[in-house]
Amino acid sequence: MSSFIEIKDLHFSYVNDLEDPPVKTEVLKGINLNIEKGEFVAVLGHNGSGKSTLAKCINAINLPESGAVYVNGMDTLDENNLLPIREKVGMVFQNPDNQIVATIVEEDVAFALENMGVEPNEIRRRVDEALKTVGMYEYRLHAPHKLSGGQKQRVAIAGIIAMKPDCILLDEPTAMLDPHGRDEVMKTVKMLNEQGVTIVLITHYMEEAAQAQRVVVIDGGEVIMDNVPKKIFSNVETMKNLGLDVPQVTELCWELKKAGYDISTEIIHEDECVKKLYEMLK
Amino acid sequence: MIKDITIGQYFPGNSVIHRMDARIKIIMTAVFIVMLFAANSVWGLLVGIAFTILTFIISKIPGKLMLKSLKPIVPIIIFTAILNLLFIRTGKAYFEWKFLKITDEGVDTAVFMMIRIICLIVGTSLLTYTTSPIDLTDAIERLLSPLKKIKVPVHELAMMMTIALRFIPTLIEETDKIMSAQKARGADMETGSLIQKAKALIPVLIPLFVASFRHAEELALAMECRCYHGGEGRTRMKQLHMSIVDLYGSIFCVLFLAGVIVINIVV
Amino acid sequence: MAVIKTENLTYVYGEGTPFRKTAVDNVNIEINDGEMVGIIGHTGSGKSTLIQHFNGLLKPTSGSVYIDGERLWDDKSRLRPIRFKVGLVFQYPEYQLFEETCYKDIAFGPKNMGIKEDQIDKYVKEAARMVGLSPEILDKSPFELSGGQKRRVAIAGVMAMNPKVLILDEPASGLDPKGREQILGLIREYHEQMKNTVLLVSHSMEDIAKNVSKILVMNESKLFCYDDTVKVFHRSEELVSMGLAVPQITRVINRLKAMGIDIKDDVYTVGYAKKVILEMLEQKKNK
Repeated sequence: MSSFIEIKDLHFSYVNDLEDPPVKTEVLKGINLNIEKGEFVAVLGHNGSGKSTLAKCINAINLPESGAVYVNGMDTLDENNLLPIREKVGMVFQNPDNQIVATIVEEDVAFALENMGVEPNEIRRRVDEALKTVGMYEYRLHAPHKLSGGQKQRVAIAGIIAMKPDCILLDEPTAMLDPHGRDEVMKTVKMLNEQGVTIVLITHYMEEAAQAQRVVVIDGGEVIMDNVPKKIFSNVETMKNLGLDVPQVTELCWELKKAGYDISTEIIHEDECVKKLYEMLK
Repeated sequence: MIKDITIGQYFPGNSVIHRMDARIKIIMTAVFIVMLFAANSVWGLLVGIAFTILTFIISKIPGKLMLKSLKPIVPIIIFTAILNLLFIRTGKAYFEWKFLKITDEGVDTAVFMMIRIICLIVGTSLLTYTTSPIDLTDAIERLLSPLKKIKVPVHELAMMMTIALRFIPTLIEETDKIMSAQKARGADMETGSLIQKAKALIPVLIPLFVASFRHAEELALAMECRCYHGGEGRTRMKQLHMSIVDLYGSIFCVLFLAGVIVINIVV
Repeated sequence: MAVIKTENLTYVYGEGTPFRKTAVDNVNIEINDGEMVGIIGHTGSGKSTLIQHFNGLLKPTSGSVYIDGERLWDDKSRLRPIRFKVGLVFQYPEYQLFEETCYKDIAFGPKNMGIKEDQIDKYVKEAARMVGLSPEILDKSPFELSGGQKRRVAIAGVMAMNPKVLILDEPASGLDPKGREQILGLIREYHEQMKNTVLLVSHSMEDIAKNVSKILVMNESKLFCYDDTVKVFHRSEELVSMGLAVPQITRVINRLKAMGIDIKDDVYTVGYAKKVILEMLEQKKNK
């Protein structure tokens, strides 16, 4: 059986028409990636590595220059698939201010459903349900600009889950938030994943990536690592050389191992680290 | 200062007028304007004033708020009054000096105009005070929808209005932030001549302009991701409903208009 | 000597309206010349309001602010000269760039100060070098640059004013790990070279812990503490209860301590944690 998202030898370039002759910058250089339904995938890569471009290829905002992207078997190059794909794959962006359309929270959550031509009573029902899911129901009549960053981002997520998508792409959803807001968003994302929604999370925070089931590292427009988080983060030196980082606990274990102690560098969570250190020190 | 700007201010409430259908309110406002300008006698105008005061009381909008909305147009009121005083030269003269001539007709018209303008502002601000911006744009979109047949982009215009309303607070906040940042770099925006002050705005306006483009670009992308493809096949969560209140309101309004017309004929 | 001093500094927003809020409540601090200070506190704790008092962007509702011994707001004509002593870099400073070239943008501040052309040139080039911008970038439009480069230009624009105190609000936010490390590194270097006072506002305790010698903690509009980094992290449990996110490594050590391990409780960087744990392991081996 084929995967939910299938990316085959994907190439993509941005063309700057303002220059003469037009300047072409190749951003994605042959990406191959399959994502199964229900997975939680974190995508890492430094700024300019092509990870946001890749995300936009998945919901047919960017179209492949060569190669192909299939979502649930639908080719993104076929124009008739455009809206069905965007219903299946929702996207949340970094700046919460720039993705809220309406002046009232519930109106904003309804936006996608109105575009899809859903019947009014059904919109009402799904909007309420989505707002309850992200814990923003009591704010449904508020003006979005008066909410905190984390709350705005949860409204944006509600606007996506109201579409009942199979997958949500999140492009650095926590980059502009404070630690509390980050926490709110991550809890929501994990809960959605537990409910069966496929999550593709682009992030710069290694502790967030450590919560995923799978980490994909992109560099120079290519997938250079694709594995479970503990295997990825145990390559401390490689990660640092890529301009990325590893969770602090992993770095500590790696340092201790280098000093000659018997400790695994596949420790990526606080709990396992505490347990291991306790054994060593007690 | 900049935060005091009140555009399309909505004052939430639960009065009869708040509950009325926004479409009816827009039509009523139009009828009201006709009523004001149709009234050509003292009695007719009194009916107009009575209508304004009555609706104002029913709306339960605080008087202070209304005075605030009148404040910026005081110069306009005075200006029209003076124009009428000076340029209407027919009728009995009260006062004459060189080319100046103030007549009884001039005074009458000036007073009439002042009252009309005040009623006009109070009446139309009631519309924005009692109707949420969303309902208002929605109602405009629906009222204008027949124009779609002659290729007027009604939906797009309404969408633009909604987005403008949504981004006004964001842009005001941004302006404040950019101003502080440039002040911290020693920009002087308070002193100097008018030209110097205008020049001092460049460091604020350019970043604001760039920011607006960024907002527009990202918002358009986010809208596209949420299946936006124009007005075709779009539904709305909130349906506008006509109710018994709207019927009474319309009758109430039409009766007043009829009153003004009858008075015009009789007097 | 204290370069920044506040006495009973209080700031109230929206006085006389239902939205009245005391944003800064009776704050007394003295920050000494040449210090590198981290300012932390959750959103709405008053830290942004506090720093805007340091260069006279906000006027205290009551209490006073002294910069370099001079009281702000006594003489309004002195406000601008005093303001030039305190450079303030806002969050996402790249959004305030407006000139045609990076050079002109960096020169905007010094020009406003009324500095002579040739002197400005020196300051601009010096600031550009400090933030690691190559000379050819100076002639480019700031809008052509990448996000990280734009931010450097914006920071250079404030550094070029040669302030005695440089305040940066979340200078690394939104950057990738390498970008964060680079920006914080150049700020650290700037501090070491210029020996002037730097205040670094950040949500990220990891960033603060690695870079500063003293920390000022704001909580619910009040000054919670202002002390050496080690001593502040000594109180990490209180910081957690305030809703602040302490570094992961500090959480690990605190938990070990709670489990009965006799370990120092002022650990806040991986390097330090490694040293502490290795020492303990050595001792255990020798026993």
